[in-house]
Amino acid sequence: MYGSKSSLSSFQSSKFGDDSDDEDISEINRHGFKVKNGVIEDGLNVSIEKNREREGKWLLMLANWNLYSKSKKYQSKLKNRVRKGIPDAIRGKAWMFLRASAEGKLDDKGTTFKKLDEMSCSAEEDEQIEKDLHRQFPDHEMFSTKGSGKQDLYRVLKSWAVYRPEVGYCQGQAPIASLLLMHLTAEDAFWSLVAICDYFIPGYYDIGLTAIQMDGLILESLTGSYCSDVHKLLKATKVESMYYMTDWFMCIFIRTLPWNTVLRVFDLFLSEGVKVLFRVGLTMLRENLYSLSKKLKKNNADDLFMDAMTFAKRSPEVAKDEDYFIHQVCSCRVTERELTNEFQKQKKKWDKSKGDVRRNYFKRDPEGIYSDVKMPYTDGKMSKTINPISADAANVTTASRLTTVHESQEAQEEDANSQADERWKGVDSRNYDPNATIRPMPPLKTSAQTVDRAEINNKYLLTPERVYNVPVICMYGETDSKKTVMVYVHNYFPYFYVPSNKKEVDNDINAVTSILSSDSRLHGGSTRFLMTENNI
Amino acid sequence: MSSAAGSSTPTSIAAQKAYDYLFKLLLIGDSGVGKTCLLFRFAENSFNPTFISTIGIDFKIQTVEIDGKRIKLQVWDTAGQERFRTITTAYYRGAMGILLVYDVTSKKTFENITNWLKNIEEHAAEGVEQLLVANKCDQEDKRVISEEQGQLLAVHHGIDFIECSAMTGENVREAFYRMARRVKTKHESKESAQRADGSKSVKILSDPGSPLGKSLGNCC
Repeated sequence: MYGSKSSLSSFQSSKFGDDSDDEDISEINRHGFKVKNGVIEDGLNVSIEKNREREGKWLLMLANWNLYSKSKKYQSKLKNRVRKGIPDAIRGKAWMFLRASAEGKLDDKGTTFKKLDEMSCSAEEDEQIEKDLHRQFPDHEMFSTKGSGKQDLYRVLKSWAVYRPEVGYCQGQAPIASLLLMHLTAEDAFWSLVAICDYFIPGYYDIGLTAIQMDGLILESLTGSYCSDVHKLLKATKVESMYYMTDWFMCIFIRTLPWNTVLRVFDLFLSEGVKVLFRVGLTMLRENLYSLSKKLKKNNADDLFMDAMTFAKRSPEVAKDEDYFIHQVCSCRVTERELTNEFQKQKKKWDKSKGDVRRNYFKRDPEGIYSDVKMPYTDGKMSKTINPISADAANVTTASRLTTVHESQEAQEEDANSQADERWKGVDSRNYDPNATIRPMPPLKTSAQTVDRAEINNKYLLTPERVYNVPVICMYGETDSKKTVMVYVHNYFPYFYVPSNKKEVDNDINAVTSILSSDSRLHGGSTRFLMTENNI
Repeated sequence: MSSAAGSSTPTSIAAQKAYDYLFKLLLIGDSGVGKTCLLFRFAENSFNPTFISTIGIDFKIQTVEIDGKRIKLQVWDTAGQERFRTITTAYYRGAMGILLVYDVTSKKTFENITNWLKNIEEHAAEGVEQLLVANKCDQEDKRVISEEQGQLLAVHHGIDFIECSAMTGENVREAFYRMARRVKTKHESKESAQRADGSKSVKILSDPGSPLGKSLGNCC
């Protein structure tokens, strides 16, 4: 529940938070972050009407997922809609669809995660995870000193460490798990994390960190072809890719960009795969270093070193406008084919002492990530105490994951479109005027109670058949009896924010639930109440 | 642009600069011992208990004055988790001074110092200055490693030792100053030895072939 600082005050476990006084939270923005100096920077980038319209389209799309995920014509529609940004209310659900795990989870009937949740990982990993619980988004309500998200974060990361003991926990995973937990339940967040680590960016967190090092080399090389001036600057100043891209790629830019943009990049990443990281990376480098690179002619490279170091890593000014930024990112034409070719080149120069390196840049298995894959997340390496999933499915995913090169039709199409001289399609960032597009952001403090219900309905309510099983309302919190709670309310439209300042969280939740379930539009059983017990 | 020894004109560039020396320091130690907090305290003189973990490499600059010389310290902060060593060890070679940090409230981070020392031996330039830094010394009630134990370990490995607290700020400045002074002394004695040799070229302490050593060459 947004703005529910006091509701979390009963949470005082030494493991997940300390007892120190939290400063008063005056305002929380719509993403759950504490607002500094009363300036809310993360407003909606479209009008409410437009947002509703998009939500409607998304609901329709999710309801007809097979069509949109399989038919060529509709696939591109889906892709374009992701590029426009998934509406907040749909985001969690859409992420689940995009990673094709919804079916998988149902197959599993929740037993795998439950079992993993009960198991413990090595003491060493446990210690590392606990240390990091306090170091993720301290400004976010869920992960601040007394935030209830830490508990679920622990469960997700620990479950991963149990699930993939040969990889174990890597510090780069915690920010991703945190982002997922802001939108999903612990179980869904866990399977999404698994999908990302195993499927989207396999090897990034492995003990040798070879995959990320390889991608660093590839990014460096691509900088040469996509922004040669910047490449020259980086070479001259000897700023290495591992310095700026490790955090970027490992955490999908979550720790670098403004939050509105973080979400959009993540949407894009789940939809289009690992090439998005390169596209964003190149955009960032170009934005951050292009003007500095022009000074290379007149200045000694050593004099530019400090600036190059400082500028390289920062979040560019244009990233504040997520639409513009995403437009730029999508104008960068790096394809899977290009990445694969670059990989083959770099592999010849690879320092073997670092260990074996494998990469697969195609975002899909031959069937496509959008097809209804059954439980794609198991490859037989899972601990024996857990039910093994169908061996056939396991073989297929393992095989596709490890194939270094294979063809994807879409990549071929994209390849044909991308001309060597058309590196950036129709975008000139230098003409960008930051002041022109940054919008005044509306504060969250709307008193939802005072809005006339009928008016909302008339204005925003979509026809019932278009409303389809989506968690339009999603609430998280902690009860007085120390249970973490996540509430999903399906089939409820429109949604609203409920500021809560009361201490009686249980009562609050019951009240909200009873109001919602008495609503005639919520047909029986569609309100799902997820409550997890944890012994702290 | 390579400004390897002698090829550029170091003195004229140095004249334009606001500093006399540029030293590269490196912070290593287990995850959560407070490397980033120490650096933040040193560079910004403030403390934030809710720090985010370091993933990969980071760096900060701080200029200090020692014996009338302005010294620009380029301090590299590293991720503590073991698997990141494959990335961070690349930065050892260029470092002129390495601060090994442990947490006085955690026995394991203290015991791991031996491993970190091995890492230095393997990856850092020979004769690199080292300083053992015991952090969180303000937390007396949680302390499990005494000052004597730290001192003993330092003596055993023939390196310098200091206890400090990023939270209170105690001894943090001293730690970095002490390291800077040691690097400076070594640097100047090398310089004068070279002058005695009659060599006009200026040799730098760090290896130009490593990430940290590359932009150097104009430091004196």
